[in-house]
Amino acid sequence: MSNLLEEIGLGRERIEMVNVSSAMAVQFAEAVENVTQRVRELGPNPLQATRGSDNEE
Amino acid sequence: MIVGERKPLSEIMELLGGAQKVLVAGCGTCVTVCFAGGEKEVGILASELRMKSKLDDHAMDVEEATVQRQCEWEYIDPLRERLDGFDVVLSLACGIGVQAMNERFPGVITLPGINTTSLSLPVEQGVWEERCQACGDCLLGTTFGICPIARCSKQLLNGPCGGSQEGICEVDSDTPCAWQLIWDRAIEFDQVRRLLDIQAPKNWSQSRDGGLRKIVREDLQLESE
Amino acid sequence: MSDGPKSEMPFDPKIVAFCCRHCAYAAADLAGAMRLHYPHSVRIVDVPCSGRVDPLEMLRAFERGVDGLLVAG
Ligand code: SF4
Ligand code: SF4
Repeated sequence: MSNLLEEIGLGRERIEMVNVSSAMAVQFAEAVENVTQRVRELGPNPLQATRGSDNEE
Repeated sequence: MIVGERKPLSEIMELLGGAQKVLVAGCGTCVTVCFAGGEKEVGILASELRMKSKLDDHAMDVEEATVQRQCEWEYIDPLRERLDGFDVVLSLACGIGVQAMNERFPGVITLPGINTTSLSLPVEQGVWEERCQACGDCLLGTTFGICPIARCSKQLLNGPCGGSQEGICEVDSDTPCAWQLIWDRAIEFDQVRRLLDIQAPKNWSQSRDGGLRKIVREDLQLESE
Repeated sequence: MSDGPKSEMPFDPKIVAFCCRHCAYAAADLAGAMRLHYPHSVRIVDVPCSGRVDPLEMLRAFERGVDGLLVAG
């Protein structure tokens, strides 16, 4: 899956997979924090910008 | 089954050139079960193409269609109506399907999205191993059910060669020596005698070397007039 | 769920989290109950098993403009 993202040019860092049990609330919150932080550095999904211009056609 | 492998996205993008409207066409038979060109792979590729082309600043209009079998007229005929307005069809079927599409619908070019690789056996989940090369004159009856054409690196008819090492082929250390397997079976069935005669050269005229192969079954043909 | 006007504010990535109903979804629930802080921009999708999530769904999410994905199970 990350290879697919890389191939498309979105960047493999946009996806995170974690293993948490139902008791691992802290780890879950950390995982959300991690991926959010990483994606924030990468910037918005570049497809969003083009989506707007498509609608104008 | 016929086994294939998706081409890299970059190669597909290059094949498509400046196409605006693309129909990705899958096949519901062999390439579905080897996860190369079924409905799901069609969805994945179509999605990839839409995103990649947008990011490359020439958004393509990509639609999806999967038929039960792309190598039979009956199954592809319903696609005729769908082809209107498409610049190109990208087929995820084997080479037979791609050619069937081009022959049936000559007005639009159908391009291959996978590499058709082999006639293989899914030996375990996610692993396909070649078992037959459609040589046209099957030897399995004399080789204890193990094909030396597909599975011996040198296609020997009298083996093994001197490079067979402890059951492993000298050409590739991951591959068992086909002839060791054949001998093992012969010993198991106590029929080693059958391997002692030297096999004469094989009749390759029934294989690719004889040109295009074609089977005509008059008993099955519809009567002409 | 609007993106809001584009401003110089640090951008708030839209993250979709596919969560296994029995593990991660329950963990998210617990995180809520424990009042843990985590980014509010995450959208949680409850799936019967995280093995259910296949590349096609993930690609579709990106196609629709999601910024990042979390698969948790
Ligand atoms: S001997 Fe020929 S037909 Fe038989 S399995 Fe091998 S390649 Fe196929
Ligand atoms: S080692 Fe066995 S399989 Fe390999 S080329 Fe020699 S006979 Fe064929």
